[in-house]
Amino acid sequence: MCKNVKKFCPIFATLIFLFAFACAKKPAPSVPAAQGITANYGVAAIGELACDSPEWQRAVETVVPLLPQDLTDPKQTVLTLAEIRVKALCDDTAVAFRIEWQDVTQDMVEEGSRFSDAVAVQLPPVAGGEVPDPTMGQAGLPVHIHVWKASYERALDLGDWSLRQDFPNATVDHYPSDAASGEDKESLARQYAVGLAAGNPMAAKRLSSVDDLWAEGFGSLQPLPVQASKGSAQWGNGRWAVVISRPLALAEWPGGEGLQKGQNTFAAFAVWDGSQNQAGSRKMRTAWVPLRLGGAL
Amino acid sequence: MARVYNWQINRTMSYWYGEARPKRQFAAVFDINKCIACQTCTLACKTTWTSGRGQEYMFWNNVESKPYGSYPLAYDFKILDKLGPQPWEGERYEGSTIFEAAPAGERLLGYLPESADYAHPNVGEDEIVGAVDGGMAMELPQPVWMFYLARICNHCTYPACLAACPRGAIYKRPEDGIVLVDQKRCRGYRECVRACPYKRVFFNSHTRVSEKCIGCFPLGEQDVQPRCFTECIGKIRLRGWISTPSAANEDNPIDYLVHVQKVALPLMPQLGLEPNVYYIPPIHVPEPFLVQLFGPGAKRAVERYKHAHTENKKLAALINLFGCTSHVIPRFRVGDGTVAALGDKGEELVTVPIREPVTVRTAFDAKRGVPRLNVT
Ligand code: SF4
Ligand code: SF4
Repeated sequence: MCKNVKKFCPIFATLIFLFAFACAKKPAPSVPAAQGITANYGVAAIGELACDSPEWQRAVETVVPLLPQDLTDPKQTVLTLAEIRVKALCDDTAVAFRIEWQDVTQDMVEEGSRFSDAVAVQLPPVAGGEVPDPTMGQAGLPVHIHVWKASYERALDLGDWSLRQDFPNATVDHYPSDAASGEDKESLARQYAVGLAAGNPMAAKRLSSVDDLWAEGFGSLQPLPVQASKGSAQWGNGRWAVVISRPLALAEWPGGEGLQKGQNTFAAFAVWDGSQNQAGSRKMRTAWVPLRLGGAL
Repeated sequence: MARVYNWQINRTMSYWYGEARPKRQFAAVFDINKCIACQTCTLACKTTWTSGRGQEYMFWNNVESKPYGSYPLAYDFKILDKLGPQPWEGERYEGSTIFEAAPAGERLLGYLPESADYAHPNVGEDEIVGAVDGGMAMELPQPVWMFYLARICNHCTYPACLAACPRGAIYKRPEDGIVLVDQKRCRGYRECVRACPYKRVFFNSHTRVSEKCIGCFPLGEQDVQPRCFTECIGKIRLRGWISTPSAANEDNPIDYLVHVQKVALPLMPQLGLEPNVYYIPPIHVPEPFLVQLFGPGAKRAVERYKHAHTENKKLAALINLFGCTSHVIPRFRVGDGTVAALGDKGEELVTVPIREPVTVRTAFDAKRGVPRLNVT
């Protein structure tokens, strides 16, 4: 008897726990993409929101279906993910998106045959008028694209790159730049890091886990002149939750006066699964989803 | 896809962009028979261009011991296997190139090497498998042969790397045909790494962008051969310019070796890239392997090369000019017992004897009363 109780108790306790967990984690009501995303305001310091900030509980979740990128070669013809779940909040100067999706592997390393998980949000530079092509805009109708990458997040955490970060048992005999003295050290290191010397932002020290970019069609992606967006991310239980927050408008960003609270516009998204070697055009994308900037919480 | 003419396979083929040949095309001939696998070329390149962080396992120049040596591992077997058996009809390739064999949704047939494939720069040569007992010998069921294959980027006429980049971040310089990754535009998607069947583009995980052999273009702009050429101990390399077959010039050493004598052959021409590094094939290797690697002209190339000294003085002379000047060699002239490298305007760059004089020194130095070592 005693034995049985002992056996029974943990099972019973687990059931109670699971029940409680299920109640607590009951998903917030979500709406389909056709109803759009509403970025309500009423939350302070939008730029500081993390993916687990309690403020997100006050935002409505929109379920956005993904489409394969089957328009330009190389294509991603197989959909490796069905949907993403998006929430948004805004204030007078910024808008933040919280994007959640299922990904059983956490891919944060960008190396050889390893690719990083990533997500992007795309917005027209201004609300109203002709809507750019949802697939990265078109000539004369650009879009702003904000890409978060798990590898950027990792680089922010780990600081200066070293081979051991990717291959813990690797050894290196010698870097000439390390043996150089004083100023030569840096100039020699830079000389070999050609991407860095050429001023490619990909090679620069990461200051944010989000790239601010703009495009006028496939293959035309380039950095916006000022980088201002921020990211926050969490991976657990086979899911990513990522927050991308960007200013509504920045004078330096091309394409018009920017966005304002109270406007109606659109947002589109893209997801890359690193474990499936997805990068660049090998991605899953969404159509434009209506985006309402404003409405008090 | 556009239709372009590829003279190496003797037919038109499909390519992502239209035919746009540069004003002059960088080209080289490597005489495989002379390579000693000293890897001086590899180190010359490494110290010049790839000694930084993120370049640890990157060799823009490598020398592999064939048949098994390959860098990255099995790059040649993998792409040939993917392509499957393909036919040549005489000198015309009737099979599919990697562009024509592109699966749906892809620009070409490619694959991404595993990270670990870069950790074996020369399997079979520089890797110790274990100790053997004294006096042990090995017998193999197949004929025993091997050779060293030195490789750089081929600065292809139809580069797969360039065709694959969805951003158009790879370009071919109109002035010399050298293929470069725009270090400012590259976003590290690695389409070029997947695409190049010779695996001559590398991802740098420190800078997060791709890099490749630049043909030492800053030297080339001063008419100087690349570092891996001028440092070559075996004097196996000659850098010049190649014309199309119909414009071939007998005085141009590359044209003479490739188009006139046909002793120098492209690496895996069946892939369809029209690569511009040409190889004088090794003379002791079974023909089927040579045909797989260098196309149907391999046997003729070997025969002509073997008998150059008895049957073709001009060819023998030119072979001796390799490694005799650091200057790019656009033209050459054979004189009486000598061969000269000439510049574009016919100016003499260097003149060397066709046969170096041979001095035989006796094993014992009678004057000093000492046996001679080979350094005395
Ligand atoms: S060898 Fe490879 S990297 Fe070089 S040009 Fe050809 S395809 Fe590009
Ligand atoms: S330096 Fe010349 S001889 Fe030595 S390995 Fe390189 S190509 Fe061969």
